[in-house]
Amino acid sequence: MIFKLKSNSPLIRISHLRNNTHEFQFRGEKDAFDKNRSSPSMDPRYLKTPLLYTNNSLGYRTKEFESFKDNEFIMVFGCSYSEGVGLYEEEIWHSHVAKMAGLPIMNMALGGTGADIISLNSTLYVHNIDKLPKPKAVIFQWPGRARKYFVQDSMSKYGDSIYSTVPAVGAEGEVKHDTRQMHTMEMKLDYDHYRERYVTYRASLYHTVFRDVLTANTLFNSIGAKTFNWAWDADRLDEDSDFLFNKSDIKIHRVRTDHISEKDDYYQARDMMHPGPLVHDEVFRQIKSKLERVIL
Amino acid sequence: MEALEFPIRNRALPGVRIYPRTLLCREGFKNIQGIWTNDDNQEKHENNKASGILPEKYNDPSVVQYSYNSIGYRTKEFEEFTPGEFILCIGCSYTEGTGLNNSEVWHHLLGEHFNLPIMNLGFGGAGGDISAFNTLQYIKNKLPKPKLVIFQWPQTFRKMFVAERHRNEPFLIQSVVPSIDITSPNILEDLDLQYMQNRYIVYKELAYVEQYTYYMTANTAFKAIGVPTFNFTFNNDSEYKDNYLFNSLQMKSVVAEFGLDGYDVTKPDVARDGAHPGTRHQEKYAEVLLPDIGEILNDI
Repeated sequence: MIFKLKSNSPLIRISHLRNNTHEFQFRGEKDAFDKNRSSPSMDPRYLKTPLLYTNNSLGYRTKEFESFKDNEFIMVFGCSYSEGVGLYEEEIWHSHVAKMAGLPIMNMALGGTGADIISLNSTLYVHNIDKLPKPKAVIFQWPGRARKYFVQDSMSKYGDSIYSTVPAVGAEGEVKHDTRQMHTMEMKLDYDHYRERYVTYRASLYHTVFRDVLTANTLFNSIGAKTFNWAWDADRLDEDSDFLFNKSDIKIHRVRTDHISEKDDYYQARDMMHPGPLVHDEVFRQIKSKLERVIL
Repeated sequence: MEALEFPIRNRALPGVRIYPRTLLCREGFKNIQGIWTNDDNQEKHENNKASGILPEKYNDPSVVQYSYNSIGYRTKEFEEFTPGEFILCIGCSYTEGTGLNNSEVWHHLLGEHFNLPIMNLGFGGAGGDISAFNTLQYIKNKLPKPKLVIFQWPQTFRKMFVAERHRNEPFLIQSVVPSIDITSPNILEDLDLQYMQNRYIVYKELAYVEQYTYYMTANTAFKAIGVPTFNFTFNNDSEYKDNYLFNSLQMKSVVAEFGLDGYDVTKPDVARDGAHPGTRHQEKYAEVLLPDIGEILNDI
């Protein structure tokens, strides 16, 4: 995924999604839908009622930031799970949070991002807090720990373009990545170092993720916003061995949904790559009581 | 693509460890009281003396004294500072004051002028990443709130890596400093150094974006708790001068080499370690910074 970082923009921009209402957030989603539309597993609701995404002027799947009121909304950061790729807005886990708290959600989640982009966007948001509304609470859904962004010189003529890796990193840390995407020399060098060092000898990875979680929580806490952290158990990558997290007082609540059968209705989202409404309901069920204590 | 003009060097930081609830712990500097440190040691001094680059006053090495606190910073214990009544300075060896007495370093001269003590978080070999990380830990762990923070931003292309150690123990870190020569004692460091040399200092936009994020993180963190900040960098550390992101930031550039009046090039104004600017330069840095710092303090 490509994002723009510009000094005159209060947050990272997703240029191709700005001010747009559309049926698919990215090309692969359309391809997946076309391929699977006649599958018996496809939820028929997605065939009957079009799923439309509406993105604001910076490209986020949320209302314009100025339309939120200070201390009267909950902010959510995360990856495509929280962005709600393949889901109607009311099916995403945080729609239940909104009902529980009686507050709207500002959805800052971006598909294809890792902790580093969340940290950067948190920094930019708090940096611009004089111009942006202050959230009552912030919920972080932390993506797979191995995700990492890079920047290419050749793409940075009009503002730095950040590209975020979304490698499939297995439970043992093995990387399955399409090397055909390595268009430039710096991408190749990034990928080599990433594969041979970053996810193989993981101490730098541990530190980087710890720093990102520390940054996001500390900055929002400093302006008086409460924070809550959770992640899918499948995204934990070696966290048990991570000294920094184990001894830190920032707790990330783990959510397990692997007991839900793929055969259940509403298991998959429209793209059949992301979890469906049933899984999102389960996420809310598992974090509800802990979240209540933070938000209410 | 042009790489930087100098090769890179693995700047081993003596036993620096990351703990989850405090600043980076500089094990190699903890509680040092005396003439030498790992960075400014007797062997180096003998070599420098023999080469004739040192001012005469350093023939007696004991004219420079160091005093480090219990986690390896050249300052008092943090809890001895009174909230709102000191200036916090964060930077690299130019702020740590390597080769100089603490009382001779630019920030001490500013502190004397404004009658405010200095908390010196200068960290030899550090880049912006270390400054930003220490800032977050400082705030997260509720250390005394300073009246003002001065960031001296080090060379842009420094980068820290974390060494692989036994699991479930504090990690050791190293910072790669583009400067002298390259050594790679093990496969892990070799991978990092190759990356630095072939990628990070050649295709520079990634480093610019990272430095931008460190600046933003550190400044935003103190701004969020109501502490003003001032940022400067020495002009020979400003490799990002043409980068549009940095041009948007408030960063004063301070000339590192002044060509002082009556400067005798055969007797350079260097610190005792022979590698850092000497006392006359420190006075000049303080003089250049003084109006800006005075203006901020007046506004508080």
